[in-house]
Amino acid sequence: MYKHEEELCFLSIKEASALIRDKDLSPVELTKAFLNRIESYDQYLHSYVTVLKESAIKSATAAEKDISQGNYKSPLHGIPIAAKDLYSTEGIKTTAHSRVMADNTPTFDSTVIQRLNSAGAVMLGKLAMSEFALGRGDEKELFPSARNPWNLEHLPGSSSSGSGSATSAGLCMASLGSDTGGSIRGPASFCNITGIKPSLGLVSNHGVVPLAWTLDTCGPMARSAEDAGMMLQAIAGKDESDPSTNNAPSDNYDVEHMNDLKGLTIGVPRDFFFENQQDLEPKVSASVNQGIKTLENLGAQIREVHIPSLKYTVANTVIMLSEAYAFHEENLRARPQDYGPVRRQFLLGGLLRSSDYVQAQRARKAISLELSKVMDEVDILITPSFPFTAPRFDDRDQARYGAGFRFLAPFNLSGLPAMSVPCGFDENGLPIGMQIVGNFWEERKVLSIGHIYQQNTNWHRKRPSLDFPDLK
Amino acid sequence: MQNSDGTLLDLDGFHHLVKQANLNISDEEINKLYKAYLPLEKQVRLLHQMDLGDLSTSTAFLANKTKNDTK
Repeated sequence: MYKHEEELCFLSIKEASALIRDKDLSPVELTKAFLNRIESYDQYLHSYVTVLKESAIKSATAAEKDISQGNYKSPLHGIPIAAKDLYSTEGIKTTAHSRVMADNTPTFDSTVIQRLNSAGAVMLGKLAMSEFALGRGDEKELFPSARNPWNLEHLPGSSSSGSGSATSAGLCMASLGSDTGGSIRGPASFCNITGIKPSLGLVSNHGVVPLAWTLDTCGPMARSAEDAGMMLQAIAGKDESDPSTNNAPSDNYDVEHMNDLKGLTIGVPRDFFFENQQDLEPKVSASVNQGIKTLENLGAQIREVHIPSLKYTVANTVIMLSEAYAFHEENLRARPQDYGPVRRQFLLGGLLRSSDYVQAQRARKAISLELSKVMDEVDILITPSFPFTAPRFDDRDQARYGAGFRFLAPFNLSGLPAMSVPCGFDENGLPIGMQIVGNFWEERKVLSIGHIYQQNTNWHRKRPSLDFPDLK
Repeated sequence: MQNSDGTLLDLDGFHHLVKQANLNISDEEINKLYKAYLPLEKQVRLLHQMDLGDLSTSTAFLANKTKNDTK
């Protein structure tokens, strides 16, 4: 039915899943299409650090056999996916993109990987990232930096750079990222895909290399809200190995198919995200405002909200650097030469005082309480995902890039679910993301609003041309 | 992270701070680190100026809400 490789690789999970279930699409054929595509394009994109060619075909063959025998496991059965290289994978190197862990081959799967395996997903490989999930990628790291498929000279975002790049370029059907200060939503925004950071505590961190224990959140990156929901369904929920998931509900993350948004109230914190933001590019502002207008036209009420404590979002940086230093202290002393430029940021964490850390945690509580009050009055918040589109690799203004994460980090501090969806392109053809934030545990509402937005727009359907000059 | 009189640390003070923290890095690296440290110090200072009353940290950073709490 689907002969052309590109068409296969750009099927949605929803579409591919139905075809596989009905035995109209072979998981082996689908997996081989992705492996061919990785071979053709990843020499430019560097999105994978490990491609699991043999085991992926083996896994797809097993899926095909199971399904033919009536043992259909889940909507992810036979679906080719990939994982950021900080998810422990049994017998497969897990490096966190660092020489410090270059020889690390775990003897167990992280909980999220276990759950995806149980769901029957086919693991294509491990994906590039910023070293230890911090920084923006650098040539001094263990592997080359992943590139943005919309323009190879631009960042794909960080830290889930390979996840953003591979998912956008059709080198996997969906991927796993992780988000401590915006590392799922930033790359989703820069690469024109949909990435959700779930509520803190919804998805297990067991077996995931930490950046900051009290902030790290695992989540899916996909090409639509509907597909992200299908991934989340497989990985969410309590895990005895991670006590932070103790309150996680058993929920349904299939998107609701709503006809309109009547009765929903959308909060827009204009003072923090739109007004007097010197680095907010006009095209980003215009695209997100257009997105808000689309939601309003679907029947939602728009209300301006004020969250003054957001100006203390630096608390995220203080907590992240302090906790990261605690994790890396021993290696920073013993083998400094094995770290790339991220080492300098970790060292800054060693200079923060306990009183800085405690004050940051208090500020975190203040931000969380204020956001909680606002979320009692509205259903979701809408903001730009990032003030600007993907910077060039040779733009070394680290301060500007780092400051852009202030649009994402408040929702790491508060733990609220937040998702980036594509909402436009700038004058240079670089993608723009719109952030949808929900109340605690209300991922389904966030996903469903993202879905109705995507049913009424085409931004998420745009594909990068991958028309590289010397491509054979 | 700042001097007791509230001024930002100068480079000499920063060298002292790094030595105290026992980070085990060279003088050249300390100078580079100082450039990254100053903007962070300014922001952390703002954080300490927040009026947080008697707000505790408790364990608010953990997901301590249940699904019913948001209904």
